[in-house]
This record gives sequence, C-alpha cells and structure tokens, in this order.
Amino acid sequence: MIETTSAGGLRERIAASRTWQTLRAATWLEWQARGNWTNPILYGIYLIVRPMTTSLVLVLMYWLVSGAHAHGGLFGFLIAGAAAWTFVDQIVAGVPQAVLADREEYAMLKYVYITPARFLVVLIGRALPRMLVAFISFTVTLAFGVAILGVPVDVRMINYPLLLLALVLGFVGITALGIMLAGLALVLKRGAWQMPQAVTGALYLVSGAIFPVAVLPVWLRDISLGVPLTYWLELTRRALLGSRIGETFPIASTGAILGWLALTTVILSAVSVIVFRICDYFARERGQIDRTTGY
Amino acid sequence: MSHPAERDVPAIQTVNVRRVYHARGGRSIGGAKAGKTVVALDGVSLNIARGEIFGLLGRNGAGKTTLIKILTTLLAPTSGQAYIDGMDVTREVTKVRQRIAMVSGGEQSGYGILTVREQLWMFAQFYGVPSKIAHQRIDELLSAVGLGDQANQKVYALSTGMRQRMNLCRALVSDPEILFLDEPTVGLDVEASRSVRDYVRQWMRQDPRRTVLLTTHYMFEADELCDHVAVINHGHIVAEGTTDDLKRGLQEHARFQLEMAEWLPAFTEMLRNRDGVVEAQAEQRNDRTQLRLALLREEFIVPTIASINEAGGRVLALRRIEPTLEEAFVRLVGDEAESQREAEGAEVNG
Ligand SMILES: Nc1ncnc2c1ncn2[C@@H]1O[C@H](COP(=O)(O)OP(=O)(O)OP(=O)(O)O)[C@@H](O)[C@H]1O
Ligand SMILES: [Mg+2]
Repeated sequence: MIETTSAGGLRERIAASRTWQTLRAATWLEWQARGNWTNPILYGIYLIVRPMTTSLVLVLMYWLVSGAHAHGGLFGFLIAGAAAWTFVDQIVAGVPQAVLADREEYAMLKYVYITPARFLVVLIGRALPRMLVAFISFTVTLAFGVAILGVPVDVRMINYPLLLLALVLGFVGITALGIMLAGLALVLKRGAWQMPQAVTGALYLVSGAIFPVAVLPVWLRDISLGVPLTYWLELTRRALLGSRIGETFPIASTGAILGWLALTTVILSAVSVIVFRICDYFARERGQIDRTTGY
Repeated sequence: MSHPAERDVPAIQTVNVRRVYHARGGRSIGGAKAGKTVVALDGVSLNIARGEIFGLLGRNGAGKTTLIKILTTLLAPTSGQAYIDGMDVTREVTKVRQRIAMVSGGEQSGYGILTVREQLWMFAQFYGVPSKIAHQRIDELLSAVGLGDQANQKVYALSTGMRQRMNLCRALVSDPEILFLDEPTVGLDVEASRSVRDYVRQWMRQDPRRTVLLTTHYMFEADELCDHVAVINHGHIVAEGTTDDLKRGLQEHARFQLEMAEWLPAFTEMLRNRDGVVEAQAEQRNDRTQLRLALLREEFIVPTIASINEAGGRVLALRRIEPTLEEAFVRLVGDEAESQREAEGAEVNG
C-alpha cells in the first residue's frame, strides 16, 4: 500500500516536472526560431522598424481622410491600438503558423505530438517568446508615437496596475485564441496557412483596433462586445491615455470593462480548450498530424 | 515494472485493427459518403512479445506505416483495439506515449535552426528527463552512432544519413521500451545502414524489456535483425513466424544439391524409385554431374547418399537449398500486376 502511494507520488512528481520542462523547452525552441540570432542587429531593426511603419501607414491614412481634424488625441487612440495589436499578430496568427511549420517545414509535429508532453503546454510555451517580441514592439511603437506624433502619454500618469492587469488578461485571451486557431489549422483541408491571418483581420475591424466600436453598425457592435479583445484594447488605452479617451465606448465604467474582460476571457479560454480538443480528436481520426502535403 | 502479470502481457498487441481512409472530398457531414475510401488495414491481429525485434514486411501501400501510426497514437483506428504494454492506444494515450518512440526513414525531419545536441535535449525535456541525464545520454548515443563530432552542428547542415542517425538518437534519448522503426535505413549508404542496424541490435541487448517493431523493404535487413516477422498485404497479415518458418513454409520438400563424380544415367531412375525421394534430376557439367534432390523429409538424405555410394557413385559436395526470405516474400504477396488488380478491388467506391 505504502509502495503504491509512493510510486504514484513519484509519477505525479515526474508529470509535474515534465509539464515545467515542456514549457521551458517549447519556450526555448520558439525563442530560437523567432530571431535570426546569428544576426541580432538585423533582427533588432526588424523588431523596431516593422511596428513603426505599420503605425505610420495608419496615421498617414487618417491624416489623408480627416485632414485638419487629425490631432494628438486621435493619434493616441490609433497608436495605442496599433501598438497593442502586435500581441494579436504575434500570437493569434503566429502560434497556428508555428504549428503548421512544425508539421510541414520541419516534419517534426508528429514526433512532438507522440511525446507524453501535453500539446497545450507546448503551444503556451511557443506563445511566450512571441509575447516578449510583441511587448518590445508595443513599447517601441508607443515611444515613437509620443516622440514624433505628439501622442499625449505621460509616463508618470500611466495607470500601471491597470495596464499590467489588461496585458495579463489580454495575454490569456490572445493565447487562448492562438491555441484555438492552431487546432483549427490542423484540421483544415485548405487555406490553413491563410486562416489565422483572415481571422485576425476580421478581429482587427471588429474589436476597435483602429476605429471606435461606437461607429460599428449595431449587429457588429454586439459581436464586438462578445470579444475580449475589445475590452482589452479599451482598457489598455485607458491605462495609457486616461479615461477621457474612452468617451465613445459603449460602457463607461472602467471597472465594468475589467469585469467584462475577465468574463469573456474565461469563456473564451474554456471554448478554446474545448475546440482544440475536438480538433485534436479529428486530426487523429483523419490522420492530419503528419500530413505534409502542401495546401 | 514489478507487477508479475506484466510479463505475460505482449509488448504490442493489436486485435482486429481496421483503418479506412477517406480520400479527398471524402465524407460529408450528414453521413452520406462521397469519393473514394481506402481500406489500409483490414482486421490486423498481432502479438509481439517483449524483447523481440519484430519485422513487418509488405509492399508499398500494404499498410505498414498506417499500423505504426495507430500504435504510436498518431492515428485513430477505424475499429479494433491496439495495446502497448496492455494499455489502449486510444484511451491511455499518455501512458502509451511514455513508453514508445518512433523513427521514420526517408524524410528530412528536424529543426534546422537547432544544433544536434539542442534538438535531442529538447526532446528529452518533453519526456521529463532531467537535463543532466539527458546530456549524458546524448553524448553516449551520438558517439554510438558515429555522430560525436556533429553534436554542436546545426541540424540543417547534416547529410541525410547523419540526420537519420540523429533521429534514431532522438527516439532513444527518452529511453523508450518500445521502439518503432519505419524503414529506418532507407536512403542510407551501406555503412550508415549497417551502423543503424548494429546500434539497434546493441540497444536491444542492453535491456531485455526492450522491443522493436521494424518495417523494411530490404529482406536481408529483416533476415539479419528480426526474430519474428509478419507479412502484410493489402491490410491483411498473410504470414507470420520466424524468418526460418517463413522460408520453410514455402518448401514442401527438403531440397538438396549434390556434386557427383562417376555418375551413371541409371542412377537417376534408381533414386526416383527410392522411398522418400520425390524428385531427382541430374545434369552433366564438364567432368561432374550436378544432382538435385527433393526429399519428403530432411532425414532421407543419409540413406539416399548411402545408396548412391553402394551403387558406385561418389558424392563430392552436398548443399541444402534454402529459399531466401525474398523468395518467400514474393511467393506470399504474389506478383506486382496481380497485386495491383487486387488493390483496385480493395478500394470501395461508396
Ligand atoms: N492520409 C491518407 N489518406 C488516404 N489514403 C491513405 C493515407 N495514408 C495512406 N493511405 C493509403 O493507405 C494504404 C496504406 O498506406 P501505408 O502508408 O500504410 O502503406 P505502407 O505499407 O507504409 O507503404 P510504403 O511501403 O510505401 O511505405 C495505401 O493504399 C495508401 O494509399
Ligand atoms: Mg510506409
């Protein structure tokens, strides 16, 4: 009896340690894959220049459209949205593509898949370095906005606790989305590589990344308010720019927005895990874990 | 490990495993079927004991890889059960995965961005092997397969053969009990294939609990490595046994070839009339005669030779004619054209 218990205990310890080791190894793999570390300077430039050009394009477009009405406050809305969006690009679009690359470029997915490592943990591990990369882009874009475009961010006035909370909850929701799309990408017969971009593109329009949710038609606004990204972007803006920026948002109270963010994040995470499990089941059923034929 | 009953449990067991693939445009959701379905495995039942190197032989498309995918939890069977160490591959997935590893030949797999050592370390992590033990094992494995010098080389810079040997190390770094090798030496040069085979044998000797399921198209490889083999054809196991069983199974009679001196044509007739002699054929070759005998049983060779001596013939050399595994294989799976027709018959249009 004692022997059984201790053996069971040992097995649990091994399993716990394996989860941690898996997370570490997957994070490390993604870290290696992320950058061209043989040429860090080039990668550094890429990290900085890409988000800046993205926001510049946005700002220019606004300038052209709204002409004289362009001002620092509006840029603040835009730049904060564009800066935060790099998290979505890196993770929601990036994690499914990492899985597809594992399957089709490296032909390694099947070998990873048949280890006792939990695949969900592998995916979370692969999201972590992407979060760091996104965080760098986020900071650089904001700094650029403040220095060049006169975005009214006062470093001393930022609501750091709120920002941290928004980023953490945002990361959970974004990773959950990435995992769900990774599952779907595995079972899609066509367009698996394009699907994550298409989904993030749709979310870009719906979640208030570049224009206020208030301007959306009512039915789209309802969709928008079901997506945690909407609350996450709004909270990030409020933390950075003060709550005046959120005047157009359908919900006034910051606390209520936080509550909605938490609730939708929990729901999304649960749905993601379920969808992922279902996709995993179908992928095994249909033999799609090691399919290397192109799309 | 200490459970007494465990010794009786086969390392690998399949019960009536069937796998049907739905080809492109296949099953539509309402249950109505469109397009082609392929029956890759059609009721495969196998028992593979611990400590064996078991060979699965079959032509292209026979279903070998499909069976390995099912046993390695990559693919679900359509029906039937499969067990690793008594554990169901569809229900006790994690337990199964802790015990197995797989290498498939003929593919360029590997994270090119990592070094050989890094890649192996990463896999050890996925199995929960502590880093220190992992590095120790990696050193041992790499030098055992002759990759000691490549440990810190990036994977993309490896040749096919080196990559394949690295993949073998990748499979072994977790110290699996059951190893699946799907054409492990395909595309390797003579020496590299030999080093893979040698290492597999050595690895098996190190621990009696270890088991290997191997597929190969090289009959000599199966002959050299395997204790038992099964021949699979169109998803059916058509023969199973030791390689000797398979070869003998072919032979109804014991066949011998004799080199004779001082031969008289009358001897042939005399031999044909003897008990136990099924067939006797003599052929003149220069100053010698080559005699081919088919006997009812092996034991009849002694009195037969004695009778030749009595009659005044002289036996210079005697050789038992064994069929090769390849001959046995070809006999079992039939010729290519015939098989092609059968394959078409096996594909059902629904
Ligand atoms: N993903 C798939 N979709 C549809 N049919 C498949 C799929 N994979 C395999 N098949 C079919 O199943 C049958 C068995 O294939 P399998 O790969 O198991 O054969 P094999 O014995 O490994 O052949 P080889 O010696 O060429 O590797 C073949 O007819 C093959 O065309
Ligand atoms: Mg095969």
